[in-house]
Amino acid sequence: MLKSQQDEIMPQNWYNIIPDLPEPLPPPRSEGSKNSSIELLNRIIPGELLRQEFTFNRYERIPDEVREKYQMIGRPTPLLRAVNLEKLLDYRGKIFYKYEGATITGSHKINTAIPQAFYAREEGISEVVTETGAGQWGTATALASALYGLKSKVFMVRVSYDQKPMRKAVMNVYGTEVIPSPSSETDYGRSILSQNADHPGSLGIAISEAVEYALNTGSRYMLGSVMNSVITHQSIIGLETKKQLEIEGEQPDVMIGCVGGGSNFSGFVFPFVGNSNSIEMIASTAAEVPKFRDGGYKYDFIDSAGILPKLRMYSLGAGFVPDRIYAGGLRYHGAAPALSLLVKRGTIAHDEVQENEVIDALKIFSRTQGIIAAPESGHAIASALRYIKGEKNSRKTIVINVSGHGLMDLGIFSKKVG
Amino acid sequence: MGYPDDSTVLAALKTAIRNGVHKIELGYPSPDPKYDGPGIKRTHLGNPASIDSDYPEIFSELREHGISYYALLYYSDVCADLDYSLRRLKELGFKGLILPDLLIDYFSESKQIITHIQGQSLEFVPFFTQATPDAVIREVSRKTRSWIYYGLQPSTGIIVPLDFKSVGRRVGELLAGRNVVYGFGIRGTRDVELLRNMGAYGAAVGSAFVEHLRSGDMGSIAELLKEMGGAASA
Ligand SMILES: Cc1ncc(COP(=O)(O)O)c(C=O)c1O
Repeated sequence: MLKSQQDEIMPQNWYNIIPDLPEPLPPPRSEGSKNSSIELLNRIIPGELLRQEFTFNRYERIPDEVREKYQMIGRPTPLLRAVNLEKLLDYRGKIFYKYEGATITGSHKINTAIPQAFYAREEGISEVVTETGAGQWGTATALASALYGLKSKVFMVRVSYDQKPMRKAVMNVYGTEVIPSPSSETDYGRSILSQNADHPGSLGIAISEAVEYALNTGSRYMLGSVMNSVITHQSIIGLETKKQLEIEGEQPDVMIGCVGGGSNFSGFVFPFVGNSNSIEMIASTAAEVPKFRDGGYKYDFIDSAGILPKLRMYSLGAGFVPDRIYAGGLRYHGAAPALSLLVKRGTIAHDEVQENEVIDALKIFSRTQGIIAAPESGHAIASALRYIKGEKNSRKTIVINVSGHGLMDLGIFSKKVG
Repeated sequence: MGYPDDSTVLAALKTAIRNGVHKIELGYPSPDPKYDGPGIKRTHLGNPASIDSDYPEIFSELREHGISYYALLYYSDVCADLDYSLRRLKELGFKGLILPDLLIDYFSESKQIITHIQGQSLEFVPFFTQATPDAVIREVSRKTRSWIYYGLQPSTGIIVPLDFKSVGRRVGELLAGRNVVYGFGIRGTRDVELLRNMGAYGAAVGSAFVEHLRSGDMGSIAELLKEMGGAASA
């Protein structure tokens, strides 16, 4: 893409929804009366990120160095009309999709990994650490830390580690050390292993291990999702989409995305929330992890060990261990507080989709639009297909966020190719 | 109230009054001090003080010196019988009250509750934080005429990075002409100096004050207040 086109579409600022929410966002809570786990964040994440976490500033300037890297990794990402899908479904409205899979690492996760690594480097930090489930976040962290010359370490949920050797290989090529979690590298990992040496791991456990490692080594923890600051960075998805639709002369009627911790979905829809009450927004989750349907809206821990503060969110419980992993990125027990608040108020609707339906949707999308989307993104596509089935005669403009490609997740088709 | 014990509280209040404090916020303990940091949390735990008790010495000391005093309570602790609590606060001579959890946990009912409190001739002191949306700040402040409490940090007594200048801009824009008292995480003269530059009406010193209360050392309380008074007339 020409630089002038990039400049027109890519925003100068990220957008933070907090000052525009319809009611105050409940603050994080720290348990106990000894130390504050909120204050502890000073030792876990870069200071600038922590400032962004609690800011009321509606706009945060994207540093020039970060914008440059955004261009390098493929931003702005394309917004495309799914003409073949419209034909197949005989749909009279329009279907667009924002394709975050077009970034170098293959998902939206790089949008926040870059600024987080940048702030860490600016503050003189030499190493970053994080967790990964499906591997998308670990890959994004691996590349971002390589770009800023930082050492990096990734605790990878053990089932994914065993089932996705290619993901691990990608992270290794970027220079990252990948460790299966639970591991014997941390007190928390050792305590889990002592109870069950074959523990499959979970995102909550891997987060706790990464945070413990950061606290013990003076490295900084990279936040993959859930937190306000991450969603602010991910607003680039929605801001670009807004501009791209504007250029096309289109207005969305329906926006659909998938939810793990809530970062791609929130980044996609939040820039549209304030402007219009008439856009239907649908958050699609895995029926196996039905946080909005079956989870309570309550204070719960971000991580399993409870090192990090509690957040008010929809949660299935910080100890939640899902038993299957066809969409590792949607397995998190909770969802971002601002997103949870808007779901609670009914501003954002939710939908739950099962594995079979997701696999069918991925096949339909790949055979019409050519893209093999990530299993996580397959939920958004499946929810869109469901929606369209019920709206055959409408002329609504539907925009789907396809958060990543699925070229590293082809294993999910192996049982059911057809 | 009640921390570390009644006589220390009385002595501290006397010291505060001698050192030019204008307004006093008296916090009552809660069984669930949900939005407080560790320092203030400790003052709540196992503390039997409540609005049921009269504390004649404390209140007559405050009244004698013409100090306006305000109660800080969690709404979740008083909502079961709000009218009783409001009546008691009036009897005890409180000028108004601060309910830090009202807009967060009871947002949908908050307008009615505020009107009800004002109807009992108590001042409702709005409590805003960094996470209070702009529209809520505008609307709630318009409903009230009292001073305003603005919490700078995500909970009491803790420090995360904060851009004082942008807070000043925000408050200047949303709360022009209002008396804003800043609290949470204010520790020393440097903070008070920054607040004064922002046009603050006052600074609420909680955790730092409580640390001195715990030690019971009135000399250090006087010093803290003198230092701060030198930076702002809070
Ligand atoms: C491609 C993809 N989409 C979606 C998600 C879910 O995360 P979030 O809800 O934070 O966007 C993930 C998480 O790993 C992912 O890899």
